[in-house]
Amino acid sequence: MKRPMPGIATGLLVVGLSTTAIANGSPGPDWAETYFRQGGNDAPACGACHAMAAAETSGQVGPDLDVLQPDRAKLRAALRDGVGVMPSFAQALSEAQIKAMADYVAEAVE
Amino acid sequence: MRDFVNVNRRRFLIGSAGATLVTTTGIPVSAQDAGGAGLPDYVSWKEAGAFIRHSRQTLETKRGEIGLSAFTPNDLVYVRNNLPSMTEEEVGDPEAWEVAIEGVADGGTITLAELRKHAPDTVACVLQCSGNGRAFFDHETSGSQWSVGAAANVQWTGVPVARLVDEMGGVAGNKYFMTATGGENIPDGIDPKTVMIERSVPIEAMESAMLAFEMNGEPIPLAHGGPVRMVIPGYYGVNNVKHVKRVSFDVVESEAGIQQTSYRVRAVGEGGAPDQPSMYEMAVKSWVTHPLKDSESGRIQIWGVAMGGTEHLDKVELSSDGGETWQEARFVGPDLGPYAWRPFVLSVDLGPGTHTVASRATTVSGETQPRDFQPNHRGYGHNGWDAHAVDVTVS
Repeated sequence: MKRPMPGIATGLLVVGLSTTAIANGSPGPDWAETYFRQGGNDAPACGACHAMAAAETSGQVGPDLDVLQPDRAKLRAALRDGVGVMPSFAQALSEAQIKAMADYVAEAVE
Repeated sequence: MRDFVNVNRRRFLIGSAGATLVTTTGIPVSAQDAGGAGLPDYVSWKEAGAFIRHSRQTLETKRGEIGLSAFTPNDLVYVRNNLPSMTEEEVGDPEAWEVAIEGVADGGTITLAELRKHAPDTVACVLQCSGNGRAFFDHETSGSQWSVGAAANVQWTGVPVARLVDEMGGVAGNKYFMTATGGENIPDGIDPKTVMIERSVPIEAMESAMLAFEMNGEPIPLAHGGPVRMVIPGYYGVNNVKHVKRVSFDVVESEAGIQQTSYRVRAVGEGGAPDQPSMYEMAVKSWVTHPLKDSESGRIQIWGVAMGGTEHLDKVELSSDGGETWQEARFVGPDLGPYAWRPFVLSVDLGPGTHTVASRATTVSGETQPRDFQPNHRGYGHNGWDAHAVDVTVS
């Protein structure tokens, strides 16, 4: 197995890994905002039910997130398990994506 | 000299503006409670100050508010809507509201005006959210963190479903479920099965089920599912489908998400699935409502409510030493039936100090509240007496 070379080569390797990580879908806020507005993987868009100014959505079915102001823990739980008629997103989203969405929404409504 | 209790509301009510307070018995107070100001517009008729606001659609009645009255007045009843309440505009003329009855020999629709032509019946029921008591679980749970205030005792007036089904020729064929569908509009772009309110219950529930149109003697408020609501006495709130527009008799359960994977009881860490038990019949339960925090020393009254779930109560006992010793309390008022709760009272002499006051109800068949309630993932159905206890400090 090749060992990473010290110095510049190691730096390049580190950069390479970071780029690869993003390309492989360690999702960030851009991904989250897109999913919030569009949904996907057989699950509805968050914005279809939830109003949130940061995503420019106006859904009326569920609570207005700017008013509810859920924290990260509450968001992760809701995405993982659902709440009442809000479905679980555990089939549609990975753990990393759930975390990214929770981070995105929590910051957007602070 | 006559005994009396000096009731100072500020000392008894849990909930202080802007504070998140957890007592030693774990009763959380919503940080959104601003002294009751700001009821949402669609429930502005309710008593401001009586609620903890979890969200626009979830208002919890504060623990000390229900007092000793047999029925919870409509303006104190908690609010929990899965979908926003229908508006007057959406409902139109309430008398023209239609309920379709399907899966019977001679199915058809019946309007509220036509329902009224049938001899009405009344039933006293506890209305309780499946998640009432969720706050008492130790694990992280999704959903509103209700303590005891997602419950009310209500008198429903309406027409028994069994009577209507009889007039329509009876259930057609071998059916195992009675399904009710709510009339809320589902916006475009959302698969209706994801969010529609449609609940199936075992067909045996038809024997006590009612199409109700009055709540405590008044037309059912829109916020509570008027003009017509399916009432299943003794069943958790979600099964009492609001704004019911369709009742059917089926071989299988509804395919709606709220039936298939929501309201399912399973171990902590598991996802919801249709082969798990659904939140149907309620269990025996009780909780103290007064005093809640501190009191003047001497002889004081402990108040609370007790319910048998689906059967009559035998007794309710109180302990003021955290469950080491128990005394039987007195019920206040008549037994209103197996589905209603009963207020209770016990006068005790408490010396200075902090006392852990617990209540424990037992039904006529011997069902009693456990000390600790086994956790389930979504935090449903907590009836453990230890978690529901309150600390009372006597000065």
